[in-house]
Amino acid sequence: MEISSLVGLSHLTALQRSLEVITDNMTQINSPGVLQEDVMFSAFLDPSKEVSFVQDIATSKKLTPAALHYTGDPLHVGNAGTGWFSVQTPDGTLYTRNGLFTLNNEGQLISSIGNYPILNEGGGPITIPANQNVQISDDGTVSTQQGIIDKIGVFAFENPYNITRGENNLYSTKENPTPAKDTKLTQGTFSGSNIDPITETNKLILVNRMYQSQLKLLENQNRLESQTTEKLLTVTSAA
Amino acid sequence: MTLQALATAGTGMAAQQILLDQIANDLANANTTGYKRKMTVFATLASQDLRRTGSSSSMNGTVIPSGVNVGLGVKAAGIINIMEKGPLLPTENPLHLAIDGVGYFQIQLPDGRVAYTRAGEFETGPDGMIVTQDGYSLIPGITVETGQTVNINQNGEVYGKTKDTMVPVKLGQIELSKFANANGLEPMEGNLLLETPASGAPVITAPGTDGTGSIASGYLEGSNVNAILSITDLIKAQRAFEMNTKAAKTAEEMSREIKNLGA
Repeated sequence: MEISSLVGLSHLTALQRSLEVITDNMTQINSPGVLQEDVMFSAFLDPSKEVSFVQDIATSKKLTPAALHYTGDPLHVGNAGTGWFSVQTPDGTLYTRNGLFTLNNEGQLISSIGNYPILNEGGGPITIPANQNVQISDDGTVSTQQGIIDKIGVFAFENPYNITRGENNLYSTKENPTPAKDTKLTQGTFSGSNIDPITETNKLILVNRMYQSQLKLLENQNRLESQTTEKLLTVTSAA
Repeated sequence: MTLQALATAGTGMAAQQILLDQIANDLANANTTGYKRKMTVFATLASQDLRRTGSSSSMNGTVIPSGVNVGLGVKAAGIINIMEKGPLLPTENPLHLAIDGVGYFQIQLPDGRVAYTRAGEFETGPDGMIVTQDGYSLIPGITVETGQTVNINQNGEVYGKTKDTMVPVKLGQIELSKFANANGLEPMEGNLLLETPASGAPVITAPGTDGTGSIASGYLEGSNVNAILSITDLIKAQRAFEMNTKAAKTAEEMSREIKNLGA
């Protein structure tokens, strides 16, 4: 196949990948603690032929804190900072910005989705005595009328972009967690998603336009090839 | 591959539909005694790791740790209760009881099970037993004699007094149940809740003792549905739904153009 067609096709594939990520962002607008994702593309150089293809390298996350939504539930916490809560799952320690917590029947603080225990600064579960007025301060300290019980762990990473999203609003990373420095929790609220519907809609329109023009380019190339072939055949038959 | 985008947008639309249903149910129960408003929690579906392991960044063989991670959409992971206290509405009926604090009334179901409720809209049955609006008796069965006026104090002690008697007679003691995770109680028709493994076993105490709430006679706990919050949620659901239809439309347009390619 012609190199120009291959380059064009790599662009089309990249745009389709873009569309998938933008669509997924759209679906996650109301998902608590979910970050906006963008596909990063780069040029794949082919020095022998002096052209480059488009290759999707990675999905990067937008790390800005999301808006807080009020619920009034004393076990819901929203974070105005960029830190992560940690949860214990069968797949190991995962991280989330979703602060919708509840209690299990043993009084352990768990996530509302998936029922995973929320960990304290030391990595252990947090047990809260039932049916008492629970106070969660802005640095994560959990206390009742009887005094301080525990402290919710809020973590940061040296390379904050090195995270991968999984199911149930949980993110995994290979980095080691350190205590986050900008933690500011608000009890009775939770963090929504930081996805901006306006920019995502603009991106949709852009992707669509680029797709249309790329397709037109491919159509023209196709027509050029078939016309060339026709002309060559005509010349040959005249000879 | 635009089909994947269509499927993803589909999950988004389906999830927002569930949110819509939940909001409608909340608004329908805006005046239901003891009703707790709900919240739909959305969760990401698994992501597809489109990782071409060891893909080269140039012909010189340098390898980039490619990690293209595409999400597959969203699901409504659960509908949780918002346990905020409802307003106490005065009714002046001594058999209308509200719980000021934590705790649930115990109700005896005809099939032998025990149900729990915050809705203290009680009345006396034909035989004088204190029952719910559906006729299920309040545990322990307390009977009020005809002609007695009932008085229930903060500690759940039920007293009856007729015109003739000078001293009120104690008819019974209402006890309340507490749970480790009241949010995990399973809702049943008629404002009733059932125990589940998630809620934990009931701990039965007298009202006003050991952290249990006290009983307010002549009041009913209203629904904690907040119309402003519900309407705000409605706008959120509608906007998210529109966004998803836009994405689906774009995916459809792009796949339509592929069909025209080469024609």
